[in-house]
Amino acid sequence: MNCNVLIVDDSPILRKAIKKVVRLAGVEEDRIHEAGNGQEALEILETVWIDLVLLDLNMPVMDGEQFAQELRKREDLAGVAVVIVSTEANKERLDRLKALGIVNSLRKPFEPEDLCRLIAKTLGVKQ
Amino acid sequence: MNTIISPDRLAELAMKALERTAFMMADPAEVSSASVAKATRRATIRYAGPASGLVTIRTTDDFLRSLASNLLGEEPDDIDLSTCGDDAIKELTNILGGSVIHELGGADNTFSLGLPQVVNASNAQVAIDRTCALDCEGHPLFITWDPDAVATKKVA
Repeated sequence: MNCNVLIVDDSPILRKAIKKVVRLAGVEEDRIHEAGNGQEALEILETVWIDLVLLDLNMPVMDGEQFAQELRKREDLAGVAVVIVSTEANKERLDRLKALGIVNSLRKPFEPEDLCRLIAKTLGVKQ
Repeated sequence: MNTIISPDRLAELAMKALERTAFMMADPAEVSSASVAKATRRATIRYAGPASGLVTIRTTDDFLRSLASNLLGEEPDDIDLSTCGDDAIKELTNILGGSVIHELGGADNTFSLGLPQVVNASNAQVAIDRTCALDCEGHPLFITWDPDAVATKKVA
């Protein structure tokens, strides 16, 4: 799959586990990027074009919602698709994210196949 | 909204989390203070909202090695517990915390979840009546749900 994916999660072990699923979805390893929080993710987005962000919500430094708000302020990054991959499913928070155009989410624990399907669906819609 | 999570239900949530996240199978086991005392690794996560409380996981280094091995798809002997052990228990605690607030509030819940913390297991008081025990592929795992008496608005 000819696209760049950014995994944003404060857990290194979960980033590695998600990375394996992303590879299973057909994304080449050198196109998969990792960030430990929203701030690191914004820094990566300054240098690499990203097609899809897999975003955790509960993170130190800059959480997923703050990152999404910053992302949507940037016209040059408006085309970046975001999928929430998080344990938290707070309705008010998810509603605020939907208002930012982020409608796809996957609650942990998830089956790897579920994430695979969601990645393909999200990137397929974009393509 | 549910207000009570029984140890049996807590065990079901943990078994589902282990199976889905790490392809690990677990069975309910007996809880005793003696068995909990052997589980020297501990992590907690706090939640808040319509109700507040704490979820605690207690386990062993051997379980964490096995969990990290399954999460990463690497051989247990290749796992560096000094780097992966804390990360593995925090992630499992995070996932179980999320499962607990989903159980309490359903799909449209308004709970918020804190960040998981690894804590020193010594001098730990265990509420046996709110704790479930699992045998996860030969390793002990204990999960305790501690609801607070007073609800708070948001996790600090």
